Amino acid sequence: MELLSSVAGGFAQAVSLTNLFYCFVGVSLGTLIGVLPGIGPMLGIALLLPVTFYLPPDAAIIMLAGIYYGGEYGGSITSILVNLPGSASSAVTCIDGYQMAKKGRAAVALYVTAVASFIAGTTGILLMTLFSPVIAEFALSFTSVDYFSVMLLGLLASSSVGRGSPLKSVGALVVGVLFGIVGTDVNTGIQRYAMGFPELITGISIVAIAMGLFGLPEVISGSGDGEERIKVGKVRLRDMLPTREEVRRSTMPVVRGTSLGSLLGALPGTGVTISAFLAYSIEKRVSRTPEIFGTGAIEGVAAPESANNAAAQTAFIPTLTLGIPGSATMALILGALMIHGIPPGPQFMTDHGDLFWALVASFWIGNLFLLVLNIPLVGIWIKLLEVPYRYLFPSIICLICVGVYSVSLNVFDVWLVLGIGVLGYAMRLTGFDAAPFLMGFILGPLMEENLRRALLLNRGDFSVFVTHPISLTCLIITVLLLLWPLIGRGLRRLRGSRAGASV
Amino acid sequence: MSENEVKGVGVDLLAGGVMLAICAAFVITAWGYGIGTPARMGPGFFPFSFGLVGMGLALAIILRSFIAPSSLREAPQWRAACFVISGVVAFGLLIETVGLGPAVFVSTIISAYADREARLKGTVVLAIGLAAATWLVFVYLLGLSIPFIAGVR
Repeated sequence: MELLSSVAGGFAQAVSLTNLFYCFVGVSLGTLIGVLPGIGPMLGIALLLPVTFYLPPDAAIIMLAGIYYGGEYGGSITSILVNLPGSASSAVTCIDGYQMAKKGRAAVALYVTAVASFIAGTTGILLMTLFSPVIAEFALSFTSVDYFSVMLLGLLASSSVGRGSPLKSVGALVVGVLFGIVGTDVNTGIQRYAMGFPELITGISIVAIAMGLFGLPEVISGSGDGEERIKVGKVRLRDMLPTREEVRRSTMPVVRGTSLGSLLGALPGTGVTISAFLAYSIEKRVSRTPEIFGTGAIEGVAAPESANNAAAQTAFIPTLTLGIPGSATMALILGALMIHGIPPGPQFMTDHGDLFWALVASFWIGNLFLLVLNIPLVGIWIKLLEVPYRYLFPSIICLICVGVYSVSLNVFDVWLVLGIGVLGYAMRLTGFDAAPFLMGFILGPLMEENLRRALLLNRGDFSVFVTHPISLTCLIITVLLLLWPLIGRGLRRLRGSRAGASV
Repeated sequence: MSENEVKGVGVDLLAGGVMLAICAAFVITAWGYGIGTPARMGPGFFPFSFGLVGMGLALAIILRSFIAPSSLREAPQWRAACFVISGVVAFGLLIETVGLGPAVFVSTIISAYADREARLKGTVVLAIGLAAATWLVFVYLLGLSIPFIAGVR
C-alpha cells in the first residue's frame, strides 16, 4: 500500500494554502484562456513562465499544469455558445454544441460538457496514479541508446501529425534542435553559436522562444483580423440539468470518449485535438442514428469533450515518467521543471516523488475547482467572452515585454523575443508549425547528451541503436511514420487501380 | 484567391532558401568547433549532423516549390506587424532609460493601434491600468528591482 501512502502524502502537500491558491489561479487562468478564441494554453503557459521563477517548484508546476487542463474545460464554452473553437481541441464540439445552443439547450450542453470533462479528467488522473510508477520503474532500465531513439520517435511522431506539410514540420523541428544547441557545451565548455553575446552563453532563453513563437505571431495575425463583436445570451443555472433521456444518451459516449482519450493522450503526437476529433467520428459511426449528428446531438458533445480532457491528463504520464513530452505544451512544462533544476526522466519519480504526488493530488483538486467554475460560475466566463480583443492584445504584448525582461533584467531578452517573434510570424505565414520547433528546442540538448553518451559507451558503434530491442522498436516505428505518407499514397493507388480493373 | 496566387509565387522557394541559409550557417560554424569521431564527439558533431539533415530538408522544400504551387498560409498583416514590433521596440528602448511605467504606457499605446478599431481614450485608460498592474505584480509582489520611473525610488 505504498501507493496509497504516496497519494496521501501528495494530498497533504497539495492542500497547503500556497499550493491550493496557485492551483486555483492556474485552473481559472486556464479556463479564461480556453474561453478566449485564438489564445491557447501554450501562450498562457508561456506568459506565466517568468512569474513561476519566483515560486517554489511545486507551486509553479501545479499552476502551469492547471492552465493546461483548465483550458480544456474552457474551450468548450466558446464552442457551444458562439460556434468558435475556444481552443483547437474543442473545435469539433462546435458542430453539435452550437446546434444544441440554437435549440435553446445551451445550458444542458454546458452542464453535460463539464460533467463529462470531470469524469474523463478524474479517470485520466486515476490511470496516471496507477501506471506512472510502473512505467517509471520500467524506464529506469533505459540506457542512453534507448533514450535517444525514444526521443527521436517522440519528436517525429508529434511533428508528423501536426498541421500542414510534414516536410516543413520536420524542418521546423530540426531548426528548433539547432537553436537548442546555442550556448555552452556541457562536455567541453566551448561556447557554441553565442556570436559574442555574453547573454547567449547560457543558451537562448526558453521564455523568449515560447513567447516569441506563440505570443507575437498570434497577436499580429489576430489584431489584423478585425473583430466581430461577440454577443452571448444568458445561461441560467436552473436550465442546466439534463433530462433523464439526455443522461442515458450521454453515458456510453462519455465512456468511449474517456477510454479513447486516455489512450491517445499518453502516446506521442496524438493528443487532445486528435482525441476529440476521433471520438466524435467514432461516436457517429457506432450510433444507430448517425443522421442526428450535426443537428444538436448530445453524444457529439459528450464524447469529444471527455476525450480531450482524459487526454489532457494522461499526457502527463510520458512527460513525467520518461521525460518525453508528447506535445509542445508538455515540452514547455518539462522546460519549466528543468528551469527549477529538476531533471526530467524516470529519476523524477524516485528523486522527486513528493513533487510528483503533489502534482497528481493537485489534479484532483483542480478538477473539482473546474467543476465549480464551469457549472455554477459559468456566467462569469460568458461575460468575459464579450471583452473586446482590442484591449486583450495590447495587454498580451505588455505581458510579453515585462515578463521576458523580468527574467534577468536585461534588455537583450526583449530584442531576442522580438527577433524570435518575427521569425515565428514568418514561419506562420509560410506554413512552418511552431510546435515542433519548440519541442526540438527543448529536447535537442537532451538528445545530444544521450547520443554522445550512447556512442561513447559503445566506442562509436552506431549498430547499438538496432541491437537494443527498445531502441530498435522505436526506430522501426519512426521509419514507418516517416514513410507513412508514401505508403498511404501507394495503398490508395493500389485500391484505385483495383477498383478501376473491376469496372 | 487570385491575390494569394500572385503573392504566393515562390513562397516555398524563399522559405526553403532562408532555412537552407540558417542550417548552412550552423553546419559551417559547427565544422570550426571540431567534429571529433562518433566515439569522442566534438562540440560540433551534433549541430553538424542535424544541420546537414536540415539542409537536406530545405533543399527538398526548394525542389518541391518548383513542382507544387505554394502560397502564403494567411494574408500578411503588415499594419499589425509594424505596430506590434514598434511597441516592443519602444519597450526595449524605454525600460532602462525612463522606467517601467512610461515603457509600459508607451508600448501599450503603440501596440494597441495594431487594431484598426483602437480608440485613443480606451487605449490610454488601458495603458495606465497595465502600467499600474505590471508594477503591482512584478515590483510589489515579486520584488523585482525595476524603478517605476527611472531615478525615482
